Amino acid sequence: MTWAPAAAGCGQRYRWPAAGLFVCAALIRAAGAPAEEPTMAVVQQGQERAKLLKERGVTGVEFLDASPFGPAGVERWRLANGLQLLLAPDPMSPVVAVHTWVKVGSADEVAGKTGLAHLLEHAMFKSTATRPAGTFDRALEQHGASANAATWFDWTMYHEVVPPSQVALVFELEADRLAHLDLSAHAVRSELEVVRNERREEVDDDPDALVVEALWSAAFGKEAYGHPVIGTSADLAGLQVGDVVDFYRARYVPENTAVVVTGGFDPAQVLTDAAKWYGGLAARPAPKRSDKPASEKPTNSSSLVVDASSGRLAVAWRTVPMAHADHPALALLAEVLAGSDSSRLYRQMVEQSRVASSISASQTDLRLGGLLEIYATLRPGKTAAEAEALLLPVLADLLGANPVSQTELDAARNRLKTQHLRELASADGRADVLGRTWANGLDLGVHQRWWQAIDKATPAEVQNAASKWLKSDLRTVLRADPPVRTSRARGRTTPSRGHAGRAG
Amino acid sequence: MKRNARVRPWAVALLLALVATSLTVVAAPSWAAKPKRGNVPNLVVVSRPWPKLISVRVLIGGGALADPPGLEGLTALGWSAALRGAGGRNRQDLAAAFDALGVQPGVGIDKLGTTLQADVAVENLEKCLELLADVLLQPTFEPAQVEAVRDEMLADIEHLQDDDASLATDAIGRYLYRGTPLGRPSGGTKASLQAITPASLATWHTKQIAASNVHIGLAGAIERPQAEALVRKMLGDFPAGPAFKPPASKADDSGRRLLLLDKPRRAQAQVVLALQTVPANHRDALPLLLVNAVLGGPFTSRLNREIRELRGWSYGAWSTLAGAPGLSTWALGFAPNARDAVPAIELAVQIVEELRRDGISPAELRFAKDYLIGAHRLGLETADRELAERLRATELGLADDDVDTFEKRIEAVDYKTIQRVVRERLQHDNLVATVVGSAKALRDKLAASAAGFALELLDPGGLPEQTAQKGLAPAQRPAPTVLPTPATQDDDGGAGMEEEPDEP
Repeated sequence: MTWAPAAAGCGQRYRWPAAGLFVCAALIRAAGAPAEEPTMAVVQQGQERAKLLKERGVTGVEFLDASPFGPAGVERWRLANGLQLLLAPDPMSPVVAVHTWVKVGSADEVAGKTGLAHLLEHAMFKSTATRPAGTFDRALEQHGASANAATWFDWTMYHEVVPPSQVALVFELEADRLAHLDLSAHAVRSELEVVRNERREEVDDDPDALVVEALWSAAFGKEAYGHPVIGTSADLAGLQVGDVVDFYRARYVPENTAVVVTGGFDPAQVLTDAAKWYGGLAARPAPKRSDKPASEKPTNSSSLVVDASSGRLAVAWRTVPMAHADHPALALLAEVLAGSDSSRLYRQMVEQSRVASSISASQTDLRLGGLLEIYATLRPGKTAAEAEALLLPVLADLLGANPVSQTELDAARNRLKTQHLRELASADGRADVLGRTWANGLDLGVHQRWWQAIDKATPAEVQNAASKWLKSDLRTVLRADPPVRTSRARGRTTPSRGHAGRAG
Repeated sequence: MKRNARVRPWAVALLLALVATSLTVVAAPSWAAKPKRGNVPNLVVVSRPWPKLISVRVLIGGGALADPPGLEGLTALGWSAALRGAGGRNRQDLAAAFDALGVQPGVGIDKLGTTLQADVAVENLEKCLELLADVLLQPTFEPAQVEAVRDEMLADIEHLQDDDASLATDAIGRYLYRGTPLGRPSGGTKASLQAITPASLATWHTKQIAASNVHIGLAGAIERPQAEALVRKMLGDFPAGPAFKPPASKADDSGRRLLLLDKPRRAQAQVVLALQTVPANHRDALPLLLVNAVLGGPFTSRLNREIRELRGWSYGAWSTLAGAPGLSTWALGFAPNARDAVPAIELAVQIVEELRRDGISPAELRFAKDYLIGAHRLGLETADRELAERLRATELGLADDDVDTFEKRIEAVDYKTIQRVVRERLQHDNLVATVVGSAKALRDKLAASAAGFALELLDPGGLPEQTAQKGLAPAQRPAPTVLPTPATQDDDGGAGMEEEPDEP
C-alpha cells in the first residue's frame, strides 16, 4: 500500500451478491481453466502427496481427486469429519488466499426468516469462547490482511489473503469460529442493526438494487430464489437471536464446509496444518438440501416506481445451472447480446435509438437453475415501455432473420477468455472459482468441460440455446420508471399476474 | 454480502479526482511549432509468467485539470470520443477490431491524469497496441460520435443523482475546493459540455499527447526487452513536448461548514467529512498515512469500531487519504440512518478531536506500520496491481523508487514525528462536510448540533461549487429553505421506498 490507500483496499470491498450483475458476471467468467496439464499428472501428484503425509505420520486426511486448474492444478482432500480441502498451489505467488465455503445460503431459509444466512455471516466476525470481539480482524490486520465474507442464494463464503507464513493462523482463527462462535444477544442484535443499515443503504436507497430485487422476485416468486439474500425489511425486524443460533448449529458443520487454499504454499504443510486445526471439529450430519429445480412459472411482467433520475428496464429468462449442456452457449449468448460496444443490444438501445445510457446482459448460475438477465439504464425522459418496445424486437430478430454470426461468436468467445484470465491472475480469484464450483455441488472437471464447450461452440449451438430458452413463458419483464409529478404511489410492485413482487 | 463497506472504489476514484492542484497556464508550448515526432514515451514494465495476459495502461498527464475554465469535461469527452474512431476506422470498425481481439478498452479520468486501459491475451498484444496507438495519436473526433459522447455525459450528470454515495463524494470535492480549479466538476456541466467544439478538442489533444506527458505500462507475461521493442515499434511516434505540471493550490479552509443535499425520500444519510492536508510528496505524508490507519483505514480502526461495531449506526465507517503534488484530501465517511446521522457526525468529530489532542499510542503506531507494510506486500501480488501502484506514484510525482522503498520509509517513522504531525496536520476546526439525505429529517438537528458546522442547503440539482463562499454559522443564519426538485415538490406524492419509521 502506498500513499493512496485506495489501491490495496478497493478489491476487498464486496457488493452484496443479490445485486446480481456483479456476481453473475463473475460466475460466468469464472467457469474454468484451460487444460494446461493432463489430468493424470495432477492426480498422480496428489497420490504421491498422500504417501508423503502417511510417511510423516499425518492422519485423518484423504486424497479424493485432482484436476488441471490454474498454474499447477487443484487437488481435493477430505478430513475424517467430512470437511473438504481444495488446494491449488502456485509456487510463484507471494500470497495465499484462504476461503471457507459453507453450503448454506438464503435459499435454505424458511418463510418469515429471510436474511438469516447473511446475518449469521456478519455475526461470524464477533467473539468466540476464547477470542473477544475484534481480535479476529486485528490478528489478520497485523499482517496487512483483512477478512471479508459474502452470502449468496446457495452459499456463504469467508475469505482472507495473507502472506504464506500466516496460513496456519487463518486455519486457527477459522476453525475456532466454526466451532466456538459466541452468539450472545448483544452481538447478534448489534450486527442486526448493521445489516438493517446495510439494507437501507445498499437496497432501499439504490434504484438499481431495487430493480434487481424486484426482477428476481418476479422471476422466482415464492421459490427459494425469489426472496432477497439480504432479507426483507419486515423479516429482518423480526429475526431472533435463537434463529441465528439454531441456523449456525445446524448448518455450520464440517460435512457442509470446504476450505479452499490457493497461491504460494507447500501443500503437504497446509494439509498437516489443516488436520491439526480442522481435524478436531466434531462430525455432524449436514441437513439435506432441496434438489428440486425451480419449477414455478415466472411472473411475466411487473412494474415498479423508483425514486431515480430515469427509468430502468430489466428482462430475464429462467435458464439452467452451470452443469447443463446449454450453459456455455447461454453465456456466449449473453456476450453476443450486450457484451461490448459492438453488441446487438448496445448498438440498438444505446447508440441508435439512444433510449438507454447503458445495457448489460449476463447468465447467472444457481445450484438449481439459472437466470439470463438484461438490465438497461434509460436516458432521462425515456420510459421503460419505450425501451421494451425497442429491445424485444432485437431479440426477435436474433431468433428469426438474423441469427448469431461466426464473427459475433468469435468476439464473444475471445472476451470471455480474456475476462477469465484476468480473474485467474490472483490467488483470490482462483479460490473464488473453486469455491463456487464446490458449493454448487459440481466436480472439479466441470471447468475443463465448460471451456472445451466454449472453444467448440458453433453459431448454430448458440442459436439453438437462444431458441430453447428465450421463450416468452420463461420471461419476466420489469419496467421501472420515476414517478410522475402527481403520483401518490410509493415503492409498489404491480405484477400483471400471479404473485406479488416486492420492493423491499 | 460484504460486511465491510469502509473502502469504496468510487470514493477513492472521486477523491482522487478532487485532490490535485490548480490548472496551470503552460507558457510558450513547444508543440505549437509542430514538434518532431518519433518520440517514445516512458515505459513501465511489470513481469509475471502466468497467466498469459497483458494489462496495458497508458497514463496521460493532466486529467480534468487540463480542462480550460468553461470547458469542464473536455478531457473526459475527448478520450471517450477518441475510442470511437481513430486511424481511419470509424466507430463500428474500431469497436469490431477491439472486439475481435477480446479487448474491451476503457478510459478513467481523475484530476491529475487519464488512464486508457485494455487487457489482452499475449498473442494479441501487438494488434492491440496498434489500435491503441491510433486512439492516442490519430483520433478522428467524428462529429456524430462527439455528439453521442456529449449526450451520454449529459445523461451521466443526471444519473449521478441516483447514487447517493457517489453524489456525496463528488460534492465534497466541489464544496471543499470551491473557488479553485479543483472544485470544478471533472465530468463537466451541461453548459461546459455544450461549449466544447472541434477546435477546442484539437487544441486539447495536441497538448495531451506530448511524449513527456505519456507513460506506457505493460504488466503480465512479457519481459522488458520484448516490451521495449514492441512499444518502440507500435507507440514510438509521439510528438515532443512537456508533461503537464499543475501548480499547488489551496482553497479557503477556515471554519467548519456543512453542505446538506436534499434527497427527501432517502432513509439513510451519506456523510463525508474532509480536510485539506499536505501533498503526497511532503515529509509528513507517510506519518499521516500511519495516522489514517489508526483513524479509519482497516476494519478495527477507531472510526469503524465506534460507529459500526459498538453502535451499529452504519454499514461501515472509513477514512482515506488521496494525494497529489500540491495538496491532499483527508476524508472520512459513513452512512447512518437519518435518525442516527447527527449523533454519528458528532461522534466522528469527537474522534478526530481526541486524535489531535492525544495522538496515538506506541502500540497503535506499531500496529499501523505492520498493517501498512503487510498490505503493501499483498497489494503487489499481481502484475496489474503492481503496475497500478507504479503509475500512481508517477502520477503523484513521487520518486521512481517510491514503491520499492515504501516499507523502509514506513518503518523509519518515529513516534515523536507522529505526534507532531497529528497536532500540526489534523486541523479539525476546518472540517468540511457534505451530507446527502432528507433535509426534512436532518436540517434542524444539524443546525443545532454541537459539532458546530455552519450549514448550507442545496437541492440535488444544484452546484456545490456555487454555494456561498462561507456557510453561515447556525446562530446567524436564517431559517433554512430547501430548494425543491421538480420531481419531489409534492411531499406526499412522488415515489420511492417506504420511509423507515422512527424507532424509539
